[in-house]
Amino acid sequence: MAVNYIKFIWEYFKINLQSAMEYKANFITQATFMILNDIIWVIFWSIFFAKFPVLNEWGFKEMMTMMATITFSWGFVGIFFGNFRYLAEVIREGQLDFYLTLPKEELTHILISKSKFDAFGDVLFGLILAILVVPLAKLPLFFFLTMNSCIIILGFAIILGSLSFYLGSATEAANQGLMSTLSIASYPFSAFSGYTKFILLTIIPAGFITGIPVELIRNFNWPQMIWMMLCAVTIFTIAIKIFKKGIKKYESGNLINVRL
Amino acid sequence: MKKYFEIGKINLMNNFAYSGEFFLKSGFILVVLFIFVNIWKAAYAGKEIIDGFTIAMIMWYMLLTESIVTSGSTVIKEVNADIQSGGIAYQLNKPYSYIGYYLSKSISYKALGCLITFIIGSVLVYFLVGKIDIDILTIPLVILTVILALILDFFMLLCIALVAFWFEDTTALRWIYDKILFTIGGMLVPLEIFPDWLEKTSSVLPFSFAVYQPAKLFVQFSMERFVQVAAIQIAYISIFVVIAILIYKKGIGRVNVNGG
Repeated sequence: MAVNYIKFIWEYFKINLQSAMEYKANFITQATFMILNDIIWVIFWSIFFAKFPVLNEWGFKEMMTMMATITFSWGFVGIFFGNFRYLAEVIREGQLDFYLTLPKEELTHILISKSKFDAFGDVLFGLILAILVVPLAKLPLFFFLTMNSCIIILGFAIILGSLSFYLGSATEAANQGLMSTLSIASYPFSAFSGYTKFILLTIIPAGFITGIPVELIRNFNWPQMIWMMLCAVTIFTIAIKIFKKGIKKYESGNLINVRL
Repeated sequence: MKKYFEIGKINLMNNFAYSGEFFLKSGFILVVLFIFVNIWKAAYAGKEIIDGFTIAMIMWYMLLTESIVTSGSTVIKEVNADIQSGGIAYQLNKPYSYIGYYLSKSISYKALGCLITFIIGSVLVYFLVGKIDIDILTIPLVILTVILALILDFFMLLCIALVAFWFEDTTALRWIYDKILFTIGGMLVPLEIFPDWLEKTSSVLPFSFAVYQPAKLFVQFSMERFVQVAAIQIAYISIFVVIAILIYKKGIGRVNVNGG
């Protein structure tokens, strides 16, 4: 079953890539500008850490590992599951009808039917940065941890997007929720402590997207690793349950869509 | 002039009807402010003042910079759509200037967004770091520089948007522009944090007059500085108005109208 899913995702990826190549200039521009965008952040943090070399045990190197983690995982989800940010919109606008009439599992189908051009820039940047800042022996661990981060991002996006089933329209709320999580995951996790840290490791899983992976790369330990994997599995399971329960409430708007 | 005032008024009323969106956006800003309170507390590590700023001053400074930058503008999206769809041709015979129309529309939107964010954010900042000493009589003058900053930001955005006559989609340029405002514009940190050479360079660029300068005046007002900032803002606005008109005139010559 898993093999079928992977095949399905891969085939869709190839189609999305072909479509990206149809707009080659646009694709290259978006990916390049995303890399430039990421480089500006590197420059900013290098200046910040030159002024404040240590932020609760985190230095510039940890910050760069964090950037590699977030750009690679966010980009990876954007390439293979590019509709993850638009799930609420798909539900609200009745576009779900299209997916429900097809034999493939609808949630996977919605998520993979789009690929974000700029995400290619993020993945390339994250990959290069990881090679530069993560020790060679720890690169396999880095990739494993980023895959966990991908599952958490995807799961959290599905939960927020599925709110549209229950609230009618949750487009803006889902978008803001996801972007807030991305923001928190893009700043030094070491700055947080006490209740805030607790929230970031429970209700808003931003800490598991980047903070814990950086801690694990820096100083590997099994308890944290197991917590991280448990978090990924739990969020993803809850996400699927919420979506599947929500779909039973879905009423078609009889919207006729033309997909070109 | 009256018609542009009316355009602004109508858009302001429209925006009031969708004020929920502004409140949601403000929620996102609160998250960013909260992140930075934590980062600054870790960075200050018990120190009272760094580069002339206390933590309270930095957070009030940041509240204003965030309010200005995230006040938002749909000018890039709308101008891109006008150019891509050819809709700009239909604007040519309208009894108003294309640039004037978007200026009125954008400024009313940005002013409302800035105000709502500032009011909501000030509750959080007050709760987190307390108040700072501000002479109430300086507030109208600071507001004037904020309005000039919003106008300057609009014209810089418009120049980017109008490049769409040649590149069709300028969204990617917007990312870079945003990051410039975040960093050397002074949104995330006051320019004093930068190395000397970068501080000096950034403080004369137009980006700092759209973000850093008004916020610095807000927390450290001086009449001499106000006069200087307002004069340079007006000078920069004039320069970008001329650039925008030149790009528009050159670009509009490329529009072909094929019946309709």
